[in-house]
Amino acid sequence: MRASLSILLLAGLLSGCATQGLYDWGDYEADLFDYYHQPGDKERVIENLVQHLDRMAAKGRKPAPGLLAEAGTYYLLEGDAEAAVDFYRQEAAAWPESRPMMATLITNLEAN
Amino acid sequence: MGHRAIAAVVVIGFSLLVSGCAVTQVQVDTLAEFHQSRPKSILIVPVVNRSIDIKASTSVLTTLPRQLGEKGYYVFPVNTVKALLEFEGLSSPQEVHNVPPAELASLFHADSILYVTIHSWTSKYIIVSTTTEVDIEYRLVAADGALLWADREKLKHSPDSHENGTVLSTLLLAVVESAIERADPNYLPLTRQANAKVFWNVNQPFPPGPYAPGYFEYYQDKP
Repeated sequence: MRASLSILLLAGLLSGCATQGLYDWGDYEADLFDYYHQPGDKERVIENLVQHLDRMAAKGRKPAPGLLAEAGTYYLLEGDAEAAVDFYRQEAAAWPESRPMMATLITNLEAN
Repeated sequence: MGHRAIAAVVVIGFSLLVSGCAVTQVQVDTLAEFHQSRPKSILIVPVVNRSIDIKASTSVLTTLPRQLGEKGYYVFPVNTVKALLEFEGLSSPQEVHNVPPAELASLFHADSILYVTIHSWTSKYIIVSTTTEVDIEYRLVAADGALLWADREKLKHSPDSHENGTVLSTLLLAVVESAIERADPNYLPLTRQANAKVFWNVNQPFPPGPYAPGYFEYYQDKP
């Protein structure tokens, strides 16, 4: 009994360690892979990422690098430039390294 | 020519052979360039795929940002990068790899560029299990073109074996799983495994980036 309890505890600790990283990436990897190969899934992928970003914002956690920009690009490729620019601005605000690239994208989109 | 001379020739010949083998395996012995360059951001460009499996390249591309982001680097958003490169007229990964690094780096203001090439990716169906063998090469280059880090990984992956259950149910499960694996090999676990072997290798540790907790300690004793 005691042994099984400590095993449970250990398993809990281990799984806790496994999920702890610098960031919460949500379903980014599997969803982007689906986005490339299951065109019917695009809407679900976009919605899932936006919900993930909302959850991060609600928790006050910084989203993983690039995720805000990826949401912007999903919208851009759906033809929604306004939503794209909004997300590109958020990526630029969160990550200084992204600013030149985001500025290029925003300038191009606002010129058109 | 005495015995000694013959022995010397043999040794030289052998070392040539050995070094000849080593050349095909791209390796960086020293991290001096890396430490000097101290990149803060990594631009992962589309993956060159020499295999016929079209999902191989996207599975590598989609699993790299997390791997390197968790190392503490700013990783440029791979799908946004891909889209921007396509707007610029660079639609094939090989075309992107042919662009001088300085040009790519300045387009994104990136400190470093990661080039990945899949040399082979084959799934073999043997009775009740499918084994996938991959051979992937990774090269991290500074904005000025200096090679900072490189590795090449060959590995095999099979669906998990089932140790519990009767022989028949195990066999049935394996057949079903193998059929699934054949229709759609388990791309993401395999590429995660390959990436992890490359970037969390204790013998060739990949240095931490500026957002990693150990960054300052790591660079404290570096020139």
